[in-house]
Amino acid sequence: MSIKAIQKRTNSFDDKRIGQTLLSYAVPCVLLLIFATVMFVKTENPRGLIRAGVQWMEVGSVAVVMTAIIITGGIDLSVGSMVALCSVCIGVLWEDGQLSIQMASVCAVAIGLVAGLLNGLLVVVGLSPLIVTLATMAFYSGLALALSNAEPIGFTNELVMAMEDTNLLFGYPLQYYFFLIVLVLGYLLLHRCRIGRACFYIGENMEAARYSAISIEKAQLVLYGLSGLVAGIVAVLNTMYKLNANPVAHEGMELHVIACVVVGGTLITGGHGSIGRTLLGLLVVASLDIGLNFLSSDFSWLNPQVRLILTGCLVVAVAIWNQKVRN
Amino acid sequence: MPEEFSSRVIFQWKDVHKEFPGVIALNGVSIELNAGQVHAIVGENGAGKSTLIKLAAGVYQPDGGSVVLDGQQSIHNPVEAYRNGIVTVFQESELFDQLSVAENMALLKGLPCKRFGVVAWQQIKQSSRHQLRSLPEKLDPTVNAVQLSVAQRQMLQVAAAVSEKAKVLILDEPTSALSVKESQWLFEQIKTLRAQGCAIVYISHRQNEIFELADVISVLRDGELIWTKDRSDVTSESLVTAMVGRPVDIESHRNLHKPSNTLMFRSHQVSDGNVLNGIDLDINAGEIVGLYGLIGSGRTEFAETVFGIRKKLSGSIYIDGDAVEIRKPRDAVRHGLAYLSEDRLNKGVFRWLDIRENTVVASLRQISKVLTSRRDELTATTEMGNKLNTRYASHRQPIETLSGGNQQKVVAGRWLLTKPKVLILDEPTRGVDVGAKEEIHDIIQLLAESGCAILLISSELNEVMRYCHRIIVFRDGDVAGEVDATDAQSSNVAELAFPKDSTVELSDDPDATRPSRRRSGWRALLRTESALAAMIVILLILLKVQQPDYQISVLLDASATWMILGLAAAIVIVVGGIDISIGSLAALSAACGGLVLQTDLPPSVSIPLAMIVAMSVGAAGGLVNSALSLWGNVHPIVVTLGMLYAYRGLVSTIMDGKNISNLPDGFGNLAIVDGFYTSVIYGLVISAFGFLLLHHCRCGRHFYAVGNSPTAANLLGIRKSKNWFYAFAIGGALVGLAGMLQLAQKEQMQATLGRNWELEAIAVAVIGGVSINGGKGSAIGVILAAILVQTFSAVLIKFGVPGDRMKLVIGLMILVAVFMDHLWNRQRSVRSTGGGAR
Repeated sequence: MSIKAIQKRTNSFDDKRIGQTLLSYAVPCVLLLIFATVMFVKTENPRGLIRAGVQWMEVGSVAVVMTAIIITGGIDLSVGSMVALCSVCIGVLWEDGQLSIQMASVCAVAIGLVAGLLNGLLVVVGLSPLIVTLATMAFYSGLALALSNAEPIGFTNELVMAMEDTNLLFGYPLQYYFFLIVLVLGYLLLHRCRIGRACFYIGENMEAARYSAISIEKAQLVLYGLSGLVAGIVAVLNTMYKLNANPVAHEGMELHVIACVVVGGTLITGGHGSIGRTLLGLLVVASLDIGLNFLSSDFSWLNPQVRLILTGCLVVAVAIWNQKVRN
Repeated sequence: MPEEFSSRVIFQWKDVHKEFPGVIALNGVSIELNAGQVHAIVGENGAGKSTLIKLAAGVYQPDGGSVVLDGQQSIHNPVEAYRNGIVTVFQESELFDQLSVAENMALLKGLPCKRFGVVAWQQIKQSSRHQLRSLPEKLDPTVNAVQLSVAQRQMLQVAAAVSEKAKVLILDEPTSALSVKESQWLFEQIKTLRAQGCAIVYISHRQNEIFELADVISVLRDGELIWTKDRSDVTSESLVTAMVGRPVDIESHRNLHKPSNTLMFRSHQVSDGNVLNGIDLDINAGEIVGLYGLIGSGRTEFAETVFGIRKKLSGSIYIDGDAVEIRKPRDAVRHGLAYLSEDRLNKGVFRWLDIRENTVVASLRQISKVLTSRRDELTATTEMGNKLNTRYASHRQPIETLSGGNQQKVVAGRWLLTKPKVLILDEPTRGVDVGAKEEIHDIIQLLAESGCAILLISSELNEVMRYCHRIIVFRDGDVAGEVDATDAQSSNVAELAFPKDSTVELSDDPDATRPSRRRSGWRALLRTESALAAMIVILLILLKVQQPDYQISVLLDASATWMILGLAAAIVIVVGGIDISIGSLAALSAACGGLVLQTDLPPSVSIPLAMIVAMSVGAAGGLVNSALSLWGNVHPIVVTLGMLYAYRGLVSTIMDGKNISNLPDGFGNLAIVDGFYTSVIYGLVISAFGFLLLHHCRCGRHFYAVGNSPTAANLLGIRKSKNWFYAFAIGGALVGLAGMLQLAQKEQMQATLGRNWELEAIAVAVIGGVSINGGKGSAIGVILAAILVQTFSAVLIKFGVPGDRMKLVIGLMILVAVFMDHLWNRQRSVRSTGGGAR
């Protein structure tokens, strides 16, 4: 075959590839436009919107690290449990341990890091990430229940008064700023650092990555550790914001997180994805939830159950769409 | 040769063409196989031999020409080929690792069944005993295939083929992993088959075997048939000349520069405790050393040991005069060592990543500072692309879209970017077209001239003789000899590499390196179960001591739901899927069943109807899950994650904020009648069903086959989609039943029924020994695990620990279970390979 023929073939492939990329972004973008319009049109006061977004900022922060983990072909199901555990730890350390709230928070973040590193260690040993984090999901959540006696831990009034002012910065809860920081750092780490670049190689072909002198173990340890660290910080922010430490409030968080990553177009089997995609996915899922929630005052059939069904169908549909576009 | 067969043509390749992207594998090859003849096909690597036999086996379809059996039939798929008597023993045969030897042999021709698809284990056992009787060493038919060595795998397939009364038997390098004794056994089998009128295709690199066995010899080169001759007309020289294309002599040796005298690389007594027995090898700066040897001679193993991929047991490595410690590939690269693997597809390219990413992977540290820079990477990629003359249209192309030669150039460029002092090239021109071959050798020469020490591993004699200064020959993990390339004769190099016929040469007792006594499959299986049973007994004793009147039926009542759910999860996992929508699906089924119960129908009608509805809804949910996953080609975890939301939303919609209660009178009888826990009966019946399905039904055994290897199963005509549908539907129906049982036990239902059930169901399956990767696990283990989890929770409650702490225990139990399994597997793999690869 002549060089020209090869070039022709590859050129058309290049065009096709760009088309594929555009197509894979198209569906979430269109959905986002619809839901976001609904959301903004139906909002009565911006405060309400900001408050509704807090939960999604927490989900988004965790989703950034989850994106990197999923790109390596792994998964971390224990994020919700880690948030619950760290949150409970603040309460317990403050109430029973007589630590200041700042000290308790630092300890909680450290506990999150340790919990994440434990996941990482077990994965490095060679166990399946799915099973490891399924087990630690049960384990950490059980630990949170045990430490708190399955009761939410509330804070005293003086503390509540003191914290209420520090929770907002320029009118936004701290979660917003934390998410932005994580987003930027996550982008730099995943797309501009060696360790993040390693994620793609590991997820695409682990054997080839090993033969290309990539430190797979190091990358896994760092990623799962980071996941725990971010979960710990999210737990601190959440506890300060809600002013109580609830051992069951974060159940199911991992599902929201994974839904954001998948809707964005990151492949669950690894090797392909980006932080930008996850941002897009987060915005779609969040605006769907918030927008339809606002709409439900007009249309009674748009109750939370229907929203749940829609979210589920969205995840499956977008995942299938992305796969079809790719092939 | 028995004359009465020799004139009859059994099988023909008629002018076959086969093309792969970038390579023409076969170009108009016609070969006829006669009954009662051994037909040897020889050629260098990449000559098209394996494509030829894959056409015969139905794995590939020809692009042109035809493959004809018995003068009329053409072969369309592997199952058809096998059923028609074409038996192929591939070099790397894929077996179902977690299934027993006997079952693997039975699956080849379809599991024999009694009535109703019940597997005839007795028959399988007997026929496998019978088939294995002829083997030179005893092989226990109950061990799992994962424990077999490569040699045993091959002998097993030959034994199956012999008993099959095959019309055509194709053997692809059958002796590469066999000891002398085993080879002799194989030759006897071949001679027996020949006498029975079977046509045998024999592919081998070993000349002495070919001359001993073959009646007819065909030579392939670069996808074309050179000639077919009777053995008596062929000499060793004419065979080599035909294979290589021209007589290999000194004239064709390249004019190489003179290497310097400084020692760049030295390995001293390097061994890996398995294949290599202390290798000494020196390379000077600027020298190209060829490493020639047969497959299994230890050449790749040596490279991998040096590069830190295999564990080095003893010996030391010096680079540029310094002793270096290499534990992992990263260390090797840091010390200026680079290794281009022979297995480009699996160990070289990142198929869907683009050219830039594939080029810079090993040198990110050199190219970038703290942050990587796309521009710097592009510069490096373009530079390397120009230097190696790689042809591509855009650096954004995935490497998958390039031809073999260009892919190889990209991967080679990856290592050149690390500026290596020592470069090990393992079969650098395998699967590369002729033009690119020359270019790659030009680059190697340039590199050597700039002072790099190069080790060129090849199984092509021509290659090492033409392009190297020196040739080192490996045989059976030892340096067999060294030849100066300028005065090398192909015959004396080959002589060094080929094992002699005498037994003394070849075997340092091969049985010593292979564990001869293996733990039987049944015992390994029972290990998990006996551990679980022992723990249950201990906990029960504890309970009884604490509370002498404790009723075990209470415990079984609580376990019943979990037995059913655990089995549901296990069935889906065994087939290679996973279902995390179990809890929502259970709630949905129970809600639908509950609706039926609340109608005005008499209980005698409504209760059975409700059960049927619930199980059908469950099965339908499972079918939706599997259909979406298969059709969309999306991992089932994503699909069931979405469906988890959807089903849960449906439940709330159906129940509309109200609880389901005031159920008809008789419904509670499902769970308890006069103090007797009928739920236990349900649990046991379903357990028995699960056991029969998974272990005694053809359907269940096919689940295991698909879970072990969907591709191998497909070759035997066991389709993944069908089995996924069955498994997910059965799992879903069981989930529906569990939901109804829970409804009967609790006598009412809230919309939150089944929350976190997926966690506990998968936990029960995993604790029961089901492997999350599919294809492994037993029903009894799952049932025992369900009881164990409930016993544990009963004990905790008895000791005053609140029930919600159970999660903690479950988490720990999963971790312990998978960790033990992991240790067990590792120990076994260490035993069967004698250390080595990780």
